[in-house]
Amino acid sequence: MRRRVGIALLLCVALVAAAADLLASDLPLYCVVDGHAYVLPCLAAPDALRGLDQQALATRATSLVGTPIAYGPYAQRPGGRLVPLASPSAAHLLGTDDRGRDVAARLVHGARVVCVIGPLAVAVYLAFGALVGIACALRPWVDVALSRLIEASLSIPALLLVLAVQGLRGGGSALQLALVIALAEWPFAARLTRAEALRVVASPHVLAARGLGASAARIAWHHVLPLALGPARVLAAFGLGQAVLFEAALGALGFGVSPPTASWGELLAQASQHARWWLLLPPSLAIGVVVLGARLLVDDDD
Amino acid sequence: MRRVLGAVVSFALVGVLTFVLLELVPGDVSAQRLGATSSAAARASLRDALGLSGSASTRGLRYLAHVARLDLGRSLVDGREVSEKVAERLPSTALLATLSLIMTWSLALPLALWRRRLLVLTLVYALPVPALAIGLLALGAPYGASVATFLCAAVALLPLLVPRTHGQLARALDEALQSDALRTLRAAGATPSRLLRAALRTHALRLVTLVALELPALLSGVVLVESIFGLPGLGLLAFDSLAARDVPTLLGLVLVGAAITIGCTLAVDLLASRLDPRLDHAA
Repeated sequence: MRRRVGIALLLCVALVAAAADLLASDLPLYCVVDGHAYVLPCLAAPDALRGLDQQALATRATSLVGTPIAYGPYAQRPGGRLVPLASPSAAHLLGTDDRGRDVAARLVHGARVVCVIGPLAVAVYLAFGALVGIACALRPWVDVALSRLIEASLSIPALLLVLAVQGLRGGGSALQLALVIALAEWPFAARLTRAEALRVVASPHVLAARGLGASAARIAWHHVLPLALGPARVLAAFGLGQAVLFEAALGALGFGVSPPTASWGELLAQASQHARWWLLLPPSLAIGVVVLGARLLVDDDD
Repeated sequence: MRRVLGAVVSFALVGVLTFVLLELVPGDVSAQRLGATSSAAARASLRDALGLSGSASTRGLRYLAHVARLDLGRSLVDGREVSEKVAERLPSTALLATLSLIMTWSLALPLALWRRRLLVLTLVYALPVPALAIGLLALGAPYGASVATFLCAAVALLPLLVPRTHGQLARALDEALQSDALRTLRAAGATPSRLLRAALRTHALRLVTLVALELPALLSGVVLVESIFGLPGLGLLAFDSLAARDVPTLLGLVLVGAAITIGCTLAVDLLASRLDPRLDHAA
């Protein structure tokens, strides 16, 4: 039951991210302009409608079906008017940010950053962690060296490290951010897989495989890896929550994905600059939903 | 003795790791300080003066040799000793960390004892919203390093700490309350508060270890919150040195952070038999 709630929460976020252009865009879902009918111009962005937004089209189009949020995430002057830091109203459900962009639209598109960074960071850190963990279990001398390394890495304040690397590199694509986050998290994955792999290596079927003359690579890939990935679900969920929090933290400090990309962390950064609640609550709630969803995913005592 | 040695090895590894990582990152303090239009020769002479020339491996070894003598080097920005800069920022960070640890535990303990799991989990994870709101909205008025700012900053740290602590604490208490000793005690008619005290005492070691393991997360959170609130602690120092590409200070900060964690873990290890006398009997 709890796990289903978790899956539902995460699916909601993924769906919002996938349908971001349908939910919030400069161009409407359907419109008829100068006798031409355009279907889903918000996805196709036809040349004829370039430079127009839904506010301008409202007067020109003979028929118009708008997106639920009638603004794109980058539109600074929808309808030709610049209204920075407007409080929530019927026109802007969650208000606008300091450049007059609609917060709801930025929130919806910010889900995309999370949906890229989260899974990517988890994949990288699981792969690397599993590699190190299994290497530790198979070769004792590797274990001596690497388990020290794991322990040492665990004692580094992760955010400080991520901040240092991300800040010194400057700028940032979502891909780079994901890699940096994975860099800070891999020791958790390595520690857990190592413990699990050590248990598996001691089991009879691995002994049998070794007796039959299987190579180390074959044992690692066919006999240890599938069983040692037991804690992977827990790790993936944990990593997802952490990645989202890291993205938000880095964004809030101004070292997240490069502007003008919409991200939840960037909204938080604005909230801390301007102290407006409509910049603060929506991204915090969204982050809370993802972290809670990830946590409920591994709630296995029901 | 073996544990102390292990801690030293861990610390040395942290030093090597962070040095290598920050070395791999492009970024040049000479360009930062002289401006992008400066000549290559001027940059080279500044790099010489700052001790940045030479291969990475020689500089790395030299750095480690200095660290071994508890010398973290000098800041590239104002030429002051890094250890001095860190020491003057430490009290503020320690105060904030202690404050938020106390708050975290006084919230996480009652929540861990409360049995409605889905409700509690939602509460724990919905916490970011009010906590961040209180913390960040307080920024509307600039407080400086006043008591109010410290309190707000500690509140803003809660969402980062409470979920982790709550999860671990709930698991530890679940196990404790299901143990034979506690079941017997309950059957004998002990009051809930007596039961809780017994559970906490028998699991004292695990709980203290938990605090030590939380330290990196706590320090990470402090970095974030201090930078946002402008509190004059280690976090703000990290943020400022990052803006100035002051790598020695950054390195020093990571090392100090790791040293605090390793030191606390070591202290817990050494105190283990005091906290849990059963360990002595088992050995």
